[in-house]
Amino acid sequence: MSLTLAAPAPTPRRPPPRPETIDLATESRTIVVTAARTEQAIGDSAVATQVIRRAAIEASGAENLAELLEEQPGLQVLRSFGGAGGAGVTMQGLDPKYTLILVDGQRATGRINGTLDLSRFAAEDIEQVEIVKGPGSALYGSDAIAGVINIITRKTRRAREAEAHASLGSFDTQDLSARGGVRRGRWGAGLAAGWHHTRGFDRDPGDVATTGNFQNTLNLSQWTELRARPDAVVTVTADAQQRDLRGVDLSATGAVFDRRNLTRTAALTVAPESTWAVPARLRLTGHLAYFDDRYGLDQRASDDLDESQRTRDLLGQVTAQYDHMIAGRHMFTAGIEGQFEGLSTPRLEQGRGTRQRFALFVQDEWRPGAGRVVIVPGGRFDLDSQFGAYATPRLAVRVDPAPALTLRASAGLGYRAPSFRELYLSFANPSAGYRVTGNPELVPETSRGLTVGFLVRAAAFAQLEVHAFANDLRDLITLDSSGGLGVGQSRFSYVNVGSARTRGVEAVLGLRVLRGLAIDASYTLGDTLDREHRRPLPGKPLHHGSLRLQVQLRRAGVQAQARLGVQGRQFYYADDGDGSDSAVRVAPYATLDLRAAKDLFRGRMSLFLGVDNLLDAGDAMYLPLVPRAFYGGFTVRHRSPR
Amino acid sequence: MKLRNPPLLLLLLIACVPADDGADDDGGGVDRGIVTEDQGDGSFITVVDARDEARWKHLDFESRAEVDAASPAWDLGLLRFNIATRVEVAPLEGADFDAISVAPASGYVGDGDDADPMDMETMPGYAFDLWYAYDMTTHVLTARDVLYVVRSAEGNYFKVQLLDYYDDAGTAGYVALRWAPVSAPL
Repeated sequence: MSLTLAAPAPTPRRPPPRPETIDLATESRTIVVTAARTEQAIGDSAVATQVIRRAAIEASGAENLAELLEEQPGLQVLRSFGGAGGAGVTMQGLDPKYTLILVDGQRATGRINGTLDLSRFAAEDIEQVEIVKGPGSALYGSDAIAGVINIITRKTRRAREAEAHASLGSFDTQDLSARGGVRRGRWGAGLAAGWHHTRGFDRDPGDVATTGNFQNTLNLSQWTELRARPDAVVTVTADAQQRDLRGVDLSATGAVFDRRNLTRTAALTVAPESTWAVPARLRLTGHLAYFDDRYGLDQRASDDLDESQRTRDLLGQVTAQYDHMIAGRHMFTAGIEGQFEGLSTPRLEQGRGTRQRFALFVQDEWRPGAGRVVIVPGGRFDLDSQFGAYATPRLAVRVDPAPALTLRASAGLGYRAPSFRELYLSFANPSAGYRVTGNPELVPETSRGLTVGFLVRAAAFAQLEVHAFANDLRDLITLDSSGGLGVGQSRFSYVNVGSARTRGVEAVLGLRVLRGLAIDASYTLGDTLDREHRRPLPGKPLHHGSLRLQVQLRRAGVQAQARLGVQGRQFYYADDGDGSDSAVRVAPYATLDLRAAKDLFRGRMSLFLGVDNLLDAGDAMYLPLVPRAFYGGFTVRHRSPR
Repeated sequence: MKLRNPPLLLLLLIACVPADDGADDDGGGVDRGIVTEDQGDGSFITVVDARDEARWKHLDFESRAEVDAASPAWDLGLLRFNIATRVEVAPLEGADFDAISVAPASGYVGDGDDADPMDMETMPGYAFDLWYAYDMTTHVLTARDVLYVVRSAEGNYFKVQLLDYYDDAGTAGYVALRWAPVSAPL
């Protein structure tokens, strides 16, 4: 186990016992890494972190990250229309492109139109998900405007572990996975494989087009850890995935397309780490990620509009991070990062693009006095081959005026570098009659963000966390008509003209008033404004709430959960053709998910049964939610004693 | 558990899965030129493959076929949704195709001198400018109810009704028109 550097009292880093999904005290001891780039107990973190632990992942029944995140307070998972773009997450009223997705601290690749498809990340590989809202560019650089989501993959903790999971459900959904691991004195290893299939669904049987994709996904991952010396450890992780997504699209002109995305990803990370008694630690990380997407459109009854495009993205990243405790009061972190990215796609003007980025980051977690105050100044400086230099400072403060009360505030700058597409796209759609070109002169989108909040605890049975957020975004990259309003002659290009703000309040209440019963409620008020058009941002509800009830009968080995999500009305905007837009109002809706699980053979086997979207919310046009879906299955596990 | 070289193993495994781009041969893709079909009632339906954004297609009513740009015989030039003409045209809003058998004596206009499909004007100055209606939301173009009487290069008169801009598979750029000869003005 790696050393915990958080001061003043290092929290023992131990895996939470099972099953214990509903204990607030245990939750506050969970070790998180995202907010400070070093391990610390969530209860000690200066920046608020929302964590989803393994037990909660299993209790949710989610089979991938998208399903998992849509249950979280303050997050909204949006599935793209027409299916090719996948499911992205909206945070603090901002689009998916403003949230940075990390896997074990490494930037994930494969954004399509700014959205990284979260359904790509299979739940069986996830140990924990950490969500840090608010500007995170000070530590992580580009894209961390609304926040950072870090997926912590599973590691082997015991001498022997094995697990198999099978779930069958509506729409021919099959989720099969298996993993195994061993841990001996100096080394540990784990291997996991998963198969996920669904037939897809159609929200509007009145036409030939489908809403949700047919999907076959095969994923494999491995983790190896070797402790060469007591103070030196090397971790090697690798994963690979193939996804085959298919759907049917219908154009306004009546053209019918069989669409297919065949996507392969692979990643390799090597991370040697050395620790000293000071305490201090040096961690080097080499990371290589490959993304290959073959997109095909096959027009029915003709080949005129057939399309075949291959997009390949290679990301290499080398990071060196040094953490040093000074005088027991300063947890000092400094690091350098080099990044290389190469993208090849026929849609770019040159067919390919490359960029290099070099970054320095520093942070000091300073605990003056008796440890009731934590002040965390930090910042990052990025030098990018595309747009030059950019600095993103952040200041976070935490005060604990009383044992039951924690106050937190953080303010920082953030940015999002223009994507290759936005810089170099060259794309004509003659059938729809428009042309889009990139703009190499683009500068990064920038943000100023502020988060202020408090957390109040009433012993171990109640906890209320409230925070207010405000983001001010400038130089937003938007598509602008650059002439030719006539039919088929519309020309668009990307420009830095947009400006927006989001602000709101998020409240999360956890109640553990009865033994074996957990009640979690959340409410988010998210007020957004597109300053350019003087209207709310599209698809962002003003009100959004959730309620989750969990019952755990330990002796009977039974666990049941009900989760209600409510989304207020939201707006989309349709072009009227005369330069003005009309607002389309999407009515409020609610989703209700139910799940029950029964442990057998002392927890060696669990049977589960559930239904998602019991109220069958959604439509084909603006809410492409998965219709009501039933599922059931089992998990068998073997764990040797520690 | 053997984990001798797992990362390499995984990459190999992924690389071995076959992939195809899924596009089968449905026909199409090639230039279909100009095809005219005799309707048997004295009228004809011509479909012009006008998808090419750079090359005009030239239709000659008398030969019912495509002719070279240099030919003095062409009556209509088509490029995407642009219809150019070098003869004169009388647009008759809302007129019934079957009811017109004699060309009007007046009302003929020609293309403007500066008509150019590349100048990105909403109205590039063609006599056929208003043959379509365009839905900016869906980008779908539909033929308006206008009957055109054309005085051809050879001095003959034809009534022309634009029908569609899309073929049966939904591809844009296939301009369909129904036409028939009419008598010269009395």
